[in-house]
Amino acid sequence: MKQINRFTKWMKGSFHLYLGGLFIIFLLQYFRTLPPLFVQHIIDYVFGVEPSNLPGFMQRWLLADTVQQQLILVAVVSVLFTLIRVVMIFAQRVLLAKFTEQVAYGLRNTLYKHLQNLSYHYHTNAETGDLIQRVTTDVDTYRMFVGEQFVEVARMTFLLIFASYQMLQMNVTMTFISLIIAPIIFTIAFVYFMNVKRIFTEVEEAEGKMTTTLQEGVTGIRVVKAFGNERHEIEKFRNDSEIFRNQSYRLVKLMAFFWGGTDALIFAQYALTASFGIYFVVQGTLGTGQFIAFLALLGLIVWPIRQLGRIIGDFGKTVVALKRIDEIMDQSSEHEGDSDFAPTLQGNITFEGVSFHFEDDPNHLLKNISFDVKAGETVAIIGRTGSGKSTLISLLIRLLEHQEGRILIDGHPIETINKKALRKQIGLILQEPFLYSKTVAENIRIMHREADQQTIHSAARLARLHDDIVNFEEGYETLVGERGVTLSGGQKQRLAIARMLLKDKPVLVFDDSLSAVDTETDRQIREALSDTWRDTTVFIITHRITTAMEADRIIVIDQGQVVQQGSHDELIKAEGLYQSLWEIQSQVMDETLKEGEDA
Amino acid sequence: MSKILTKRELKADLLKTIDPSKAPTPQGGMRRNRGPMMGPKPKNVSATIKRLLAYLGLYKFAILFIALTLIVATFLNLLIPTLFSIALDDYFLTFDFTGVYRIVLMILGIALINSLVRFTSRFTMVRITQKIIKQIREEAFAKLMKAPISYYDEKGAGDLVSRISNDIDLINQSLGQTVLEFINSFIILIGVTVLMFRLNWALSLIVLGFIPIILLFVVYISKKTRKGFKEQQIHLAALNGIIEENISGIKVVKLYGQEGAFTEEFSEENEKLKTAGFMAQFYAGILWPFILFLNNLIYLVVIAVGAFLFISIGAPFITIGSIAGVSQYSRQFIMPISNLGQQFNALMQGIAGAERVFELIDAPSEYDADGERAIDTFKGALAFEGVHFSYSEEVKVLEDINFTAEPGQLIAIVGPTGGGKTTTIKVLNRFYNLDAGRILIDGHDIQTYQMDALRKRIGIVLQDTHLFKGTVFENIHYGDFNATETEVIAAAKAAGAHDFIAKLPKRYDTLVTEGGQNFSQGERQLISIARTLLNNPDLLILDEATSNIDTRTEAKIQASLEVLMKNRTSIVIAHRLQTIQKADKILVIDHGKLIEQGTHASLLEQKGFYYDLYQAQFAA
Repeated sequence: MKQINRFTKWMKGSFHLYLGGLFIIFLLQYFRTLPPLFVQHIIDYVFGVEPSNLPGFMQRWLLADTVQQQLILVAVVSVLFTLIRVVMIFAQRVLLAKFTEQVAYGLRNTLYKHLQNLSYHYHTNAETGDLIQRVTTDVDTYRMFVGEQFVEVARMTFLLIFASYQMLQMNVTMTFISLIIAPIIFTIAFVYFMNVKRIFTEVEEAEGKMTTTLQEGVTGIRVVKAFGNERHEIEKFRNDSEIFRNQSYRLVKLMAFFWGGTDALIFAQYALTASFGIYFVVQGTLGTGQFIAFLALLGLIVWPIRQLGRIIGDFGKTVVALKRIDEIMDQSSEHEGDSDFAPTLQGNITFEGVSFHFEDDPNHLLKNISFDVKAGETVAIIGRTGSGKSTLISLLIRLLEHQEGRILIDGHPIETINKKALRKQIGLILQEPFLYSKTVAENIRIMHREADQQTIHSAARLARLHDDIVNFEEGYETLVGERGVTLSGGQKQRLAIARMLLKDKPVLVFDDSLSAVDTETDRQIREALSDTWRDTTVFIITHRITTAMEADRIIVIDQGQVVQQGSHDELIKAEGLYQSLWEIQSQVMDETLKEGEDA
Repeated sequence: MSKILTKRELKADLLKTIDPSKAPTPQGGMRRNRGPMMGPKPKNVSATIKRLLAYLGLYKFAILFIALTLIVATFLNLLIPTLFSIALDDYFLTFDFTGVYRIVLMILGIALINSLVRFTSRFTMVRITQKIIKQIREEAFAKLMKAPISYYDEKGAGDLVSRISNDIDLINQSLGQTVLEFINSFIILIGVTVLMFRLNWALSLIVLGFIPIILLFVVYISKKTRKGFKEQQIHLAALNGIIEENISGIKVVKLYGQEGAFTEEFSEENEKLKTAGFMAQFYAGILWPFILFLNNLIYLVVIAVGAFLFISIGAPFITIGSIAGVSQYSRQFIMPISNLGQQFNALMQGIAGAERVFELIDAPSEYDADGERAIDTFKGALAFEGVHFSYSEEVKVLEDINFTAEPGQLIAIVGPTGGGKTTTIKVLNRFYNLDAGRILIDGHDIQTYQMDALRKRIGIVLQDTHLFKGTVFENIHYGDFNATETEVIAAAKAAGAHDFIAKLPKRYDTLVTEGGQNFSQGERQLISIARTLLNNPDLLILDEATSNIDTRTEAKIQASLEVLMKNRTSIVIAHRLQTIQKADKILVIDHGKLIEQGTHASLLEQKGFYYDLYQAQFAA
């Protein structure tokens, strides 16, 4: 029952379309079994003396005095039926197309919306490519199943039922003889397609490998050429291409063997039906018309049986796809049951004995962190890679939830503040910012969509990006990314900063986000900020002492704990991590200064 | 994303190619006309066909065999209505059924032969296609590798990859299946016409009269269908693009509480996809019922006119059997015509695809103008003599650059971003050719050296490092395929990369994902430095190589880089004062011009551009 629900739950709301379409298919399959009976009717009944196997109501329509009149009637009725079939086929296709597209549409929308509401933690652990595949390929697998595979199976099942019924009606023994090979063909097809999948996967892998070589060769062409390795790449591609060709050939051979073999079986079935049929006709237990009708009905069902085997063998794929979709849907949204409290923040931030560890890992990433930051203060957080600097910020914007202690913003415990409201007011600027393949202006506008041109330009000026942008051919309308310009690391970081400067924010966090900007620009930006954003609390996360030293206060973090706190002048005097970092980093500067004096 | 699609498509294509039930047959069964994304129409059809034929010509005997068996099978197949007409005239109308079995058996025999021939011809054709496609693909890739960087700049990586994957797929389809079906349809059509006319010319003329109607309709509907599926593909690609981008960027969305901001964009595109999908299905759905209808209409008209002629003129001009025969043929007439109409488009697409691939094969190779001078090792004397360069004609990027470097010297290039620093080093290994001037290494113009040897002797650590998909080991090994494992590890140690690699779960066997995204920028650069170290070049180019590595790592590799730079001529674009001060020569480049050169001390004395730069950046 749960399995069935997994298949049907996405169809809600448009199920009547599906039922309608399937019902028409049901009728159509019945109609398809009638033409052989018209032939039987003509040969056995009109020309011969045997009874007609047409259904009673049709026989009544075809009653006439002369052979000619009867023939004309048969022709008229059969053409009429075809016309009805034409209309029905059309109606069925429209119904099913409408249904399929609606179901896929709904599924995609639900899935996409749900994904956005899953926690940051979920997305950090999920593989992006895998998620994308679930929303695209898996949805499409289901769409194909609903719109084509299941419909095909229904169509063939109905046809099989009606054809067997018509056969049984004419001659029971002949029916069994005519259907004896069908189950064998079906089984062979089923087993074959189940197993050939493995080879399909191998072909896919071979092709994937070749495509990777191609793509890597193209995207890395500068490296290829820099090392003069063109010939190596060509050889590698030739190898991949060879393997791919061999794998596909193996598949083609297998396919050939299968289609050829089952063709032979089908002809064996024809031969069997024909020889027994002739025998029965000569014996007089089967009408000539019935014999021909048997062959025609056999032709209707025996060919598609192979497809049936394949499609049913493919069902597993849909089950897997739906399972993958459900795995996403079963995750609960991080906004469920979130507080509605959305105050305008001032920027006073207090950490009181805050500790954090991941659920599946008892090691504390942060231990007993306490500090107090007043609105408008600039605080640098310095520490080695992996010391817990970034985790601290994740707690501040509730990407992660701390286990012990309290985090207060303007005196409110952070859990009582609406997540979205909180995140909208804390401007976090990442080291490797994500840019959309949209225009520069759109990329800046992302956080504040109604911003006008003037606001965007002034934000870009503040971030020292404006001059770069106006030098682009299309200025702010230049596309970023693959289809447009590739921004340098520094330009990306400055764009990320500009994003944050569109609108006043009570808190700004620079997460090592000036690392690719040269020292001069770095300084200019920080100066510009301190002029115009006086009331904003600024966190600067860095490992560069020169960046940290100008802050009002410096918090030194090591192995998840606050080890030192104070101003630059205080800290360089105190023995500790800060001093040793300072010594390593200032060595370079000292040397240069000395050399400068010597010269 | 397109990769995933192509894989799935490949599956479908292979099936279509070898699965007889999926291909159109004269008896019925429509193939869904759903090609991959369609490009523009081919420009020079006949030249492209000629070239394709040249490839096919390599297998002319096999193809001739296919054509012959197809002709035989088709004619046998077309005998069936004649057999029916004989059966009708000889047995049914005489109410003597004794010989009718022979006809039934003959029909079965013909079906058997027909099936055999279709099978072998399709198999042979697929086999030939595989061989041809393999050849084309390898030729195209080989050319791609040899094409100059400017060709990549001009076409874009996506376009080039698409030519070798998607466009070659189009050729594959055309050759493997469309060509065969096209020929088959033609043979059937000719056969049907001939046999029909032998039975009765008057009725046959009526059937022929329907050709334009059928063709018009089929071509119109297929165009609509194709457009429909194309539209569906476009919207699907657009939607997938949105999904891909937003899932990749979902962390940003979450970081700033922007959930819902892109939902509108998504829903809109999703809605468009829904409509496009429905329209595509709708048009695809019309064709088959209409053909069924036309088929019966023709049948009816033939019988009606036949009956009228039979009553008014009668035998021998017309018999019941010949009416039945022509009406049977008329049913076989419509499928090939409809196939021709549909396949024409597919064929054109294949040709368009072939044209794009051939264009790539005809692209210039930078090795066409390769130098002949062999290189063992360079001493490392470098000179720029009046170097001018521009990517496009309008914008001069480098103007009259002149400088020299003695073997083993360290040259630092400084100047504002976008001033031409990077370009200066890009022309050095001939990624781009100069507009004017010369670059000399050891006294010889670099154009006279063998190009790949030249590049091997020049080591570059670029700002945006590209790592290949593969293991960490393979990535370092890329610098020198002859290096042993020990040498690779030694290079990693020298670059300061060994420490973090040793901490990885699989150490040197750790997989690098596409673009090296599973490593930090600093780590990527360390690996690329190791790769360059392994290559052991005579000239070294560092492009802000260490600017993204944290202070500790930076200090660590600085030492090893200095060892590396020691006996080599090195050109460094760096912001770090330390490097600049140690340089034997500093080049100050701004707006494409070399405005100052000299040592740190002499440049400071000049109190020029460099002095200001120094004051602004370092003296604070």
